[in-house]
Amino acid sequence: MSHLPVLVIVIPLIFAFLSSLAGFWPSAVRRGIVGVGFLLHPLCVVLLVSRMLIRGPLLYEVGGWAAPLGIMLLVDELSVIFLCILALGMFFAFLYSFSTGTARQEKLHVFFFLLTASISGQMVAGDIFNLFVFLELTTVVSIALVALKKKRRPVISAFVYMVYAAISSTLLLIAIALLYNATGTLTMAHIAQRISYMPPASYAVVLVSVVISLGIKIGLVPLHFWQADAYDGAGSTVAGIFSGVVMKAGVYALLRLIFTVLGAGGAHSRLLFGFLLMAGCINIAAGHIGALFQLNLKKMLAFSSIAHAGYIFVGIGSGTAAGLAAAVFHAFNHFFLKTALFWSGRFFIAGKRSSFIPRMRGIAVSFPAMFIMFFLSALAIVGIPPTAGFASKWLIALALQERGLLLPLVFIAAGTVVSLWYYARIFVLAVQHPHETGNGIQGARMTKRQAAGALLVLMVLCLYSLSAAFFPQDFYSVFEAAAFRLREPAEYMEILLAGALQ
Amino acid sequence: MIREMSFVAAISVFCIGLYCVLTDRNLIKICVGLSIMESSIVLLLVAIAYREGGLAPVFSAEIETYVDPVPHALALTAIVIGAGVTAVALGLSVLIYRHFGTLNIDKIWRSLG
Repeated sequence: MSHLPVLVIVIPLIFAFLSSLAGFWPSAVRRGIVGVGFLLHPLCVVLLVSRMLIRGPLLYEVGGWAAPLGIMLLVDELSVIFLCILALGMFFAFLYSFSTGTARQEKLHVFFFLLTASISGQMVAGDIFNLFVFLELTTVVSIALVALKKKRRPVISAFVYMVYAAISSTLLLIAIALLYNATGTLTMAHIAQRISYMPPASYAVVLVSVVISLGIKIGLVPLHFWQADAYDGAGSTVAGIFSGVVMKAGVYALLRLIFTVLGAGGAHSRLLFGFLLMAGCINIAAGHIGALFQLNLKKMLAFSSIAHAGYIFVGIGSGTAAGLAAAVFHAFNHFFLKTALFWSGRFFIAGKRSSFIPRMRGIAVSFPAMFIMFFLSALAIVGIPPTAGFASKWLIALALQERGLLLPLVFIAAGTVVSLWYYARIFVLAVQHPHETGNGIQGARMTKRQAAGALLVLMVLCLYSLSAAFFPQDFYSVFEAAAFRLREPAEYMEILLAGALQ
Repeated sequence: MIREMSFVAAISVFCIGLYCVLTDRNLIKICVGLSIMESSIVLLLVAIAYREGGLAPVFSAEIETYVDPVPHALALTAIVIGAGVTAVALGLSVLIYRHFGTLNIDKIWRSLG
């Protein structure tokens, strides 16, 4: 039980290895192994989450070596929230992937396990160098997932993604080297206590490197060019995971580094918050406008992802604990909404053999159930009350209004109108009578059973987005606690370290 | 002094690599640029580990100053990760060459239309 923080990394790694030997196993055994692996990881996460929620944050010493010599793993409210996104995302992706062909499934599952292991590692890493290593592993696995189709465009998108990612990781490594130079340690808990002695000039360099580096991973606007192509090049199953989980891993790393490690919660970082606020507004505008003019369904959803990264940045940039909690809540909700959009959109793309939006005529007639899911998620992501998308946007808006920041509010409102416009466009096309008949599930080359499995996953995702606003207060208080701890890292780390030494 | 000079050297190498990645039109040369960028980090880490008159970090009673071993471990890891990324990049270049018959980015974009 007490080794759960390390088990969430080790278990998927073991299963990645086992499932990569797929050629040696009979098909039934392979499926059994994959199934066990995908059940075991969420189980560990559930146990870890409940343990954290009952006993509070914990530091885990790998191999029993204490911090200056050994490696520490850190599990607190923020890690738990993002671990939940990961565990749910990968579990649903596993269920959903049964609707794809068998040959592709085998490869997909190996990479899914690797992705699970690397992102779990990122969520529980207690020192910045491990965070970097797992971030790098995540990126390499993502590149492989983009190039998995081996067609002309995906391979180019993967290369472009790789060049961006390499620049991003080099910048992050520079930041880590400078942090080590200034503080003499890599453990987050120790850096948090010593960061106030760091010279302002090198602090600024580290801060800028971290924001630019993770901005590339999340899709901060002038650095987002790889994103739409990568999402388009990857299959829809993978694109849902990219937007829902991999992008959130970047958000997690950003929050962890600028708050817990660099201690940006105080009043001295007004400049940083101002920058994030501006960047968020630009992201919202550029993302929604890009989506509006995009005629490719997957790329449109990718641009909408960029806009939603903007909402998260604006929430962080509001500089209050309420805004931070709302931003994390929005990241959590965005996973359910955008993943459901990508995964239901896949049926339309498969049925019409194209992701060109003007060809989406009549999809509501060919795929009624899938279209209802798409439509509900679209409503939620636009932010129609009382959906989850509305709840988190509203909380971000409240935090902004409290600080008297009106310009970002205008951006959020205008963004909502624009996004309503581009989803309504699809709706209008979808409900028209299709030109050709005989499409539907058969057109998408899928059996009834495969489609039913996918539909079940989509229903769960939609159920969350419809009901999240009515969850009890305890649910949201986890987000508030995460925001509170992010803003007071030094004191909180001191308590944690004192506890770990006993 | 020697430490500051090595910082300057590391940043210069980084900039050379970045320039190569951003301006060159050949995919293989872009991969070379990425490698150069990554090796600048190794230089930076070694410079951070340097102590005036320090010896190799093998414990012995007579030696008083050691160089810092932790950045060396980081440098090793960074080299391994860099090798992995370079391998992936070159693998992708091979795939691209099979599809397009060229490694020139301009020609690839033109044939994509």
